[in-house]
Amino acid sequence: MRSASQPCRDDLLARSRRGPLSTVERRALDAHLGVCELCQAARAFAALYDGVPDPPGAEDDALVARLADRIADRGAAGGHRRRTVAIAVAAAAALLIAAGGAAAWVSVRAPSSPPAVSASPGETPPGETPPGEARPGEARRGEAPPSEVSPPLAATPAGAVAPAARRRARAEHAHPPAAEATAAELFAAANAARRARDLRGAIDRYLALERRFPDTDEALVSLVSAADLLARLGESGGALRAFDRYLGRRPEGPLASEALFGRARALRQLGRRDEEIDAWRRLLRAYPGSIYESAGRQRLDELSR
Amino acid sequence: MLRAIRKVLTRSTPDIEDVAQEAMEALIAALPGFRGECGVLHFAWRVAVLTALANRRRLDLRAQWSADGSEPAAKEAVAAEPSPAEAVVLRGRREALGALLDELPANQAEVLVMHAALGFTIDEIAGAVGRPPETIRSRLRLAKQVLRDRISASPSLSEILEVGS
Repeated sequence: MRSASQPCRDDLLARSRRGPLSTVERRALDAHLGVCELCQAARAFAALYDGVPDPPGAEDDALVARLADRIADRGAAGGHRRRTVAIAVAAAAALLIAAGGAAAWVSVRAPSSPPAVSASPGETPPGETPPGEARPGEARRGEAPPSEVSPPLAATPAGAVAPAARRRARAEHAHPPAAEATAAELFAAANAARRARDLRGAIDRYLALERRFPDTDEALVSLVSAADLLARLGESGGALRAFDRYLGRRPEGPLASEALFGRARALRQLGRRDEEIDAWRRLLRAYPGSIYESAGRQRLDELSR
Repeated sequence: MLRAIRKVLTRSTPDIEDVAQEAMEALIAALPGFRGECGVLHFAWRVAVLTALANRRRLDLRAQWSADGSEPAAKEAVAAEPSPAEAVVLRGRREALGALLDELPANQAEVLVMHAALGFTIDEIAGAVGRPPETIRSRLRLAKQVLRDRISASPSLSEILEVGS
């Protein structure tokens, strides 16, 4: 394959995913694909995505209805006006079940935003700048695009609806984009080392990431990943310290159940019986019904004999 | 959105309901900050893709825990598959897609899924992500380079990609 010298026809490639291109566009795209190995790779990725089966389940409607009820109930219980919550949930539910692919491609442009969305509490009308936020083209620290609404590796725990704008502002102040990208790359390198069975190399990278970018979400996940690998290498003391660091920083974080489970196992390997019992009890108390419950109960039974 | 969540997770898991709930809640939280710089559906899809990517990592860690025999069995189940031969092919595709997504930094994986899989243009992604189009173009180019390198380096991946196309 040769690399293309002309710019990639990214938008033609994207539009070909929504529906048929015109003859001229199709020829232009085919000609570009013939010489551009990057776009060939992107097209292969799209084919792979399509090739992963996902039969839309008949139960999807029921699932969305269940979720909508659950969230609306929680919103009402949390002091929001019931009608406002219901409207927002209805909008989210409708979007959640919207089918992907060309057949369902719907472009809802800002000027004609649907009523459900414009009725959301506190929404700024499209094109207007809310007080205290940057205008387009200015520094973006005050904006609230959805990435930090649910940022990678710091997913909002079920049940918590976080204020998006504040979280984004905090995140960007904490680590500017350049540092974020580097942390992400280091995280990817550590994962690659782990998959290549280079456990020591993976541990070094995870811990280096945590040292260099302690405030990033990748650093938190890295702590648990490094602890897991340390335990596998029999370095239970190091594993325990890493699990404790994670729990100290995010006692109810998305990986807290994994950290508590790993902590209990590390204490077992270290022969610290009383602390191990406490650790299992803490896990069972904090996460009843988790996938670690049966292992925890079984181990507590063994320890009580 | 549900379909995008399932595909990015690349597994059938009881956690799908939790992930979907998380995406809905994130979307509801985000709507007040929606600035109209992209379509509502783009915005929603982006939330879904990001939520699913974040959960992929959490579920991967759980899968690691259950990888050795002493761990409790994960409650994940591979979706019903029609025949053993097809099952092998489908599993290969799932694993390949998952590995590619894991290998990329999250911001590149996000752009790649939105562009190559969901068909968003650069400008649409820029609007949804709140970054300049050049930044999106750069992330996409880096993601495609990783893809190309992985395909070049792995005959088995090439084979899977041909099967999937």
